Amino acid sequence: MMRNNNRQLFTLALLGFAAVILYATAGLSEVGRLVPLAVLVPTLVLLLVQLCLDVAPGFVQKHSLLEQKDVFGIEQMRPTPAEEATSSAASRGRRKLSVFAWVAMIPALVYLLGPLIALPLFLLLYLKVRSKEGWAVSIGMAVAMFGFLYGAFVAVLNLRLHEGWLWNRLGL
Amino acid sequence: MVFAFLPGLSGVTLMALAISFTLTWDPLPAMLLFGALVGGATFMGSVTAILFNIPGTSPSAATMIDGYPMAEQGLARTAIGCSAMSSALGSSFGVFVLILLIPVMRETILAFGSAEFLMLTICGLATIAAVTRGSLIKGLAAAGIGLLISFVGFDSRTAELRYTFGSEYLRDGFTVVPVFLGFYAVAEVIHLAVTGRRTISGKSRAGELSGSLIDGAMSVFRHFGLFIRSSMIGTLIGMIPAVGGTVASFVAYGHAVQTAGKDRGKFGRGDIRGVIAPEAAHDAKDGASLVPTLAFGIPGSEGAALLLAMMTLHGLAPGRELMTNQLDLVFALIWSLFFSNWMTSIVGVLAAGHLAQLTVLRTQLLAPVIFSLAALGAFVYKNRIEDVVVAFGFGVAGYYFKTYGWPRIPLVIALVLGPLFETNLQITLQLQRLGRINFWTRPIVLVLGALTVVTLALPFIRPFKAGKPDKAL
Repeated sequence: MMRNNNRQLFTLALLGFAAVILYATAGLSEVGRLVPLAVLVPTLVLLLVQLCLDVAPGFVQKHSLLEQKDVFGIEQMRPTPAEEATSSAASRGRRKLSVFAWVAMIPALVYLLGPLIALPLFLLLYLKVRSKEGWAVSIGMAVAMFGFLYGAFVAVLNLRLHEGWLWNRLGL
Repeated sequence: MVFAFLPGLSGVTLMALAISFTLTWDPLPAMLLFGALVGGATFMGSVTAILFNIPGTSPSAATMIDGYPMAEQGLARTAIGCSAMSSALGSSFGVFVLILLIPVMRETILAFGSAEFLMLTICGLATIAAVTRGSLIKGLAAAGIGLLISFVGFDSRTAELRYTFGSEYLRDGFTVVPVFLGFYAVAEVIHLAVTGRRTISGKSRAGELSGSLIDGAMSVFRHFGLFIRSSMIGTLIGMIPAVGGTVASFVAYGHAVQTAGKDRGKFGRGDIRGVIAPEAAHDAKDGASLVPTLAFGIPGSEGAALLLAMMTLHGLAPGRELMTNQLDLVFALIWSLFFSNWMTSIVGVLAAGHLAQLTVLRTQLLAPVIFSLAALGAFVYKNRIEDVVVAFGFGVAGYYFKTYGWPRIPLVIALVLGPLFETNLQITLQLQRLGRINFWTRPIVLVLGALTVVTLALPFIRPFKAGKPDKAL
């Protein structure tokens, strides 16, 4: 049930995206809005139909074509995929939040510290805090990442990478 | 080769990561690298399918049906030897067909004007939406969203800014490198981390190899008729825009079962023909899939879309120019594909036992490395922090697309095809208005239009043929 609700929410989010684009399209000139509208209108209709199908999954089962898997009938031949790690919805939800938080941390760190420091630091923190690896593995991999970044981009390619807001602020 | 060995990741993930690293290269080595990446990923994905019942790449799922039972019977080496030989010979078949078609391709391209390119783009997008996993509605909607994303930025016709919402960054639109990195590399790793798999393969010990490699390799010649037919299936399917290796390998597997006669019952229990057919078709498809990509700029798969993105970034335009004045680059790609397939098969067979150890690599170690490389790849492209935000934003979106069964291929291919679609639509409308062309009387347009209608109608026609008309809508 929860999964179905999430499915609907995702379709709703896509519909929201299309609605925002529709709103922005209204502000374009008559010539400028022609091509976007030619794509936007059918996309909105398809998303609305999909939302209705998500809300009424019984209807989909009755009319199986609406969930047509593939025209070549591959799904029927495809063997059952290998077993994935079984976990409760709650622990999966916690893991998801945790992964998203780590993912959000990367752009923030790159902005603050620049990629040369941010990426090895992220690697060190992730390995030590989330993966609970030992210090030797965590530091070793972070140093290897720094070596790769410095060697490939600074020493060999001579690129001037973003220095980081924090260092600029501190005048370093 | 190594990436294809890691289930959950794929050659496409590596191609996404590689785009940004080739930016400073000349086009020739970049083409060689991408040819090698397209060719190298195919065979190795089958080794994990045979050893662990886990396909390294999606098309390898067909090899798994008979490959894994063979490994269970102590014939892992035989299955891998057969897979390697079938894969190498199948790819040679596809490359041979591609070389034969090059002179014809040039003539064909010259017959294409803006109206034909417009219809070809629509036909390609319709095919992608119809044949990719997930529902037709989701596929078409994803293609629509991809096109809408491609419209973001400066409109060269009206000089208006579209959907930028005041952002300086969005004035140039979304660039494909961060989007692809996010949608594939980041999304796959988020998925691996969220599902909580301890190791990449889900197993804690690497598989052991047994059986005879030579016997496996020779079996391809014992069933040479099946090999040729399967290669032809792969070649034909590869040439259809957007129909990928998964379709090719499963259709060939189905053909092997249908033509097996009384032996049909052996399939699914470790029949070597169930390895030969999908491997030959899957690899033969690689060369043939370059036909629509190089001739018309219509990518046949995620890999071809990434190849196209790389070519665009290096200022290479598929079509007339590429097929006439830059034919050396085309042949570099072809030979790279050819040799990488053979090398992967040879090295793969020799190293399969050692590489199997990689599949027990812990996700917890791999995830942060791929996140970091994706961030780096997105950042170094234009040295902009916004690209990293876009990559990880699309990574989260890609994760949800994967989780809720929305196909990602239509979106990324539509994103690549968006400018082609828009430019040709505008030129066609203008020419039609001026009376220079009549869109509805051009034979290629009509044929492609009919193909599009048939492609979209196919899911609705099948139940009628199967005697279930009440379920059609």
